[in-house]
Amino acid sequence: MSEEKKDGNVKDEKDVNVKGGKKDDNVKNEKKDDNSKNDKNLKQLSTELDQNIKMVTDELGTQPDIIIRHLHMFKSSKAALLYIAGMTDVNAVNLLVMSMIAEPPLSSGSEQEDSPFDCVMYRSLAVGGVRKLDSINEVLHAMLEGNSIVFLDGYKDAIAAYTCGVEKRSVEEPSTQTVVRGPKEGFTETLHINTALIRNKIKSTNLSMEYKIIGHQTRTTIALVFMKGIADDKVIEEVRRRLDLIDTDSILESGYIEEFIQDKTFTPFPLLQNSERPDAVAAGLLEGQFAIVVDGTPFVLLAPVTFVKFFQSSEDYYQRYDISTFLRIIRFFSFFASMLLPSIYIAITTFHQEMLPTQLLISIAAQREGVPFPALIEAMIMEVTFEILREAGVRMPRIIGPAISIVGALVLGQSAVQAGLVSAAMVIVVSFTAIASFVIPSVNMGTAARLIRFLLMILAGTFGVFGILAGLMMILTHLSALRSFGVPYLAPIAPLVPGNLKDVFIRVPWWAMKKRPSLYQNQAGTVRQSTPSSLTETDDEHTQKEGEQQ
Amino acid sequence: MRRVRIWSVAAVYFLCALLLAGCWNRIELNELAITSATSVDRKGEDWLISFQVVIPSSISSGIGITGGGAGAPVNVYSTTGKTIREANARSFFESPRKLYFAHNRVLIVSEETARRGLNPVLDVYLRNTDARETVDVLIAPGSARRILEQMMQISKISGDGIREINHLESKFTSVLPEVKLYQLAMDLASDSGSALLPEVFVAGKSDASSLKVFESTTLPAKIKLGRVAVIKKDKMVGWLSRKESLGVAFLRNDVKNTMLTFACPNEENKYLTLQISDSSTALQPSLDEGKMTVKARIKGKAVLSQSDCSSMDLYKPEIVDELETAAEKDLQRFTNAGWKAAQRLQTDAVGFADMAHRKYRKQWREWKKDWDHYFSTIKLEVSAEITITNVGLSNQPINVNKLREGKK
Repeated sequence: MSEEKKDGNVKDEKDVNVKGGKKDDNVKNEKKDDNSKNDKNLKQLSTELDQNIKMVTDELGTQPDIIIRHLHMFKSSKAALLYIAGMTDVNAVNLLVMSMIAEPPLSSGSEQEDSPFDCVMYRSLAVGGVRKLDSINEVLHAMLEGNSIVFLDGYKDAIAAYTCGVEKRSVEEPSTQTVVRGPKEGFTETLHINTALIRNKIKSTNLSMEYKIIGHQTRTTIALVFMKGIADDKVIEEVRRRLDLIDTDSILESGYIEEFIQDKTFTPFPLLQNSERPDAVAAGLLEGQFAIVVDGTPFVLLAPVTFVKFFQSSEDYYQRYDISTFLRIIRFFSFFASMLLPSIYIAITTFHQEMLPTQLLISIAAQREGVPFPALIEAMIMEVTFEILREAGVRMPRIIGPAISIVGALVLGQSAVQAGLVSAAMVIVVSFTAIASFVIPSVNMGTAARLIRFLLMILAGTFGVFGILAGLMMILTHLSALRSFGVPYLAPIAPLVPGNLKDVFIRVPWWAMKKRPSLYQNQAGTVRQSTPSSLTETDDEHTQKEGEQQ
Repeated sequence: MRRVRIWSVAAVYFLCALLLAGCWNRIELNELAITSATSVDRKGEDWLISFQVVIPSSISSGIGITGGGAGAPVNVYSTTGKTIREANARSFFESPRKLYFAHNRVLIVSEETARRGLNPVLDVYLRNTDARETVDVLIAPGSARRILEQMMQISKISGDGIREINHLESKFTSVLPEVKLYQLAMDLASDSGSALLPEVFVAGKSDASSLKVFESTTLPAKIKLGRVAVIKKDKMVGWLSRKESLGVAFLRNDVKNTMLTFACPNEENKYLTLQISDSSTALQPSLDEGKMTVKARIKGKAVLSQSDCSSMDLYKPEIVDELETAAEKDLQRFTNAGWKAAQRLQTDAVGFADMAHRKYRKQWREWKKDWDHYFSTIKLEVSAEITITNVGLSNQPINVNKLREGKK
């Protein structure tokens, strides 16, 4: 009943989204949007140097981090260099200044004498990239991105020199999704480093990156990355459409994008994968997934995704296949344990005592002897306590961590049992559940299991095992209705795709995986190990290499 | 707005489903009186039902268990009623917890109850879902309640202990059968209309019903398994001795493992023990002028587990053959004794009726009118075939004196 209602609601939600999208379409172009709001930004630059500087300071205010360097070039022509301190690389700026105040380079000897502006732009500036700008709006954006702006007195154009260089974290080992064996590098907060890390894994011309700027205020750069010829063109088309529909003023993390473009909002299950690991993203790309890299976060989104993908760790592919298979089984077991264990305990001890072996029943009964609460309440207390401890563990300062651990372990565990508030068996169940929830490689799938756990506990407390089964049926129905960018969530199990089962519950050795999983890709791109006929020759080499590399 | 309404309606439905269900038949573990053994006695026309209820906190000890370790592990109390269920219901007048039978391990029926008829007991178990039909049934001479009161060695819960004894005994010696209630009902409803039940009794004069008995290494009274009761058409008709019951067990093909101890072939007062395993019995009936002769062929493998005989070269096949023949003779003695006992009680305890029904369907219509009479006319011919597969690690019987001489 409630399931139906949910579905109905979700449809409504979609409608609303579409309507919002249409509205969005009208003002699709962000620049247009900006311009219509602020007329003065349309203003062309003036030929007066001071006028230009004034326009910039009017827009940005006279802030201390805006550096304006006046200098004279070519004997007496006035020029100014503007940049935002901290957004630029100091060395690059110094070099730039040096090249500007130096003697002008000798004329190229070409027939046509360069104008001073061209001379500066093409010959003087000792910097990697230059761009000609003609409106104050462009100037402002270029500055905010970290470029240095050169104004020349007497010219209506400005030059943006690429000196971007925000202080950034270097490539480090990812703090989540750690592995025992495998690359130890992780994404950083800088988009260009991240895309370079991916390119470093896949040195193919088929690797395609499309950049977009989203967010009226934050103007965050995102990159849509996919493999041409492997990823499904329709999926890519759909992603582009969804990304274009996003109408928001800020994108601070890939989670923003995830919520905007996922297929269904009312679900505890994640419909996009995220990863901090370049190797995991590269593997996804090579299977036909696309990635969205967002500037400012090390978490890269991967989609389309299926349920079983969340149980695969990149390490699975680096270890021997038998070990990986064993670990997969452990993960699936842990997922169900983390979702079901407390509810099964409640159901059996309050409704179906006959299911327990006698010795176990007596032992549990003995522990429950002095416990004042019903099993459901007892379990709820412990589960909520654990969730609080866990949340505290994430938030609290590192220094007082050990103190909290002691309080958690001793006070809430042992003492609660000794005081007779909860039974020892319940503590064991809750601890095991808690540990099991961390076995799942994907944090958001683990969180889904945690949320469902509470629902199942209530059902178990009211209807026993029947309640658990009803809850599981509801979840199964829900799961089979989910789709991630058109790919059924439970595939390749439901619908059954026999060819793709080689990498679900078991992982067969690499040499036996001749084809990529066919779920989310172009039919031409399925062959992993032999020469695919439909691709061009260069492509062949690449695909083959990638197959081996992975 | 519409969305909010749909959600709130859904939430109301969900809450109704949860709250109106009232937690169904929820019962917490500390509201249950886990019954480990039940006994059935007769008190005049009334039924006297006794329950051995486990006190969990005195059985398990650990952190947070209140009152752990002290006090008796079980509590025994009785109620009376005109029916068994009435007596059960009367426990609500005196017990703070609801009796819970799903973990009842044994049902002990007094001899008197068994002699007066077991139908009501079977009815209670087969009609209700809360009591399991897989409970072991045993017979106690005298008061059945007294069995429940006794403390037992090693096992804190005597109900569980009795079941374990019964189980191990039937698995390793096969003398007394382990009979579950549904098997009893099936046996009684079968063509032969008879069943066997093991006897449990208290050996020793005094009682071991107080925790104080554990202060000494020997219990003043012990629960033991004894003879086998023969039930015929829901009433008990008599006892079989252990020897007879092993014979009957062979004829019923109930023996898996057992021990045979018999005299050495050429010596008196010296014995050897064989451990029989993989025993099976094939019955072959034949009809001659309306008289049935049943040939029982017992096959089995044996391992020599002890030999006190003075000298025997077990490497010689003749000697082993000799031992096998002796074992076969001993076996025949057992089976014949069992057979005689069955005929004495005029009860088809060996279950030949099923065999007769299957083999001679036409004649069965006549026979079943007076099967007991016809049964007493059946002739039994037993042949046994024991193969000694292993004589153990030593050949000659160990005799320290001889060994010493051999060294010199």
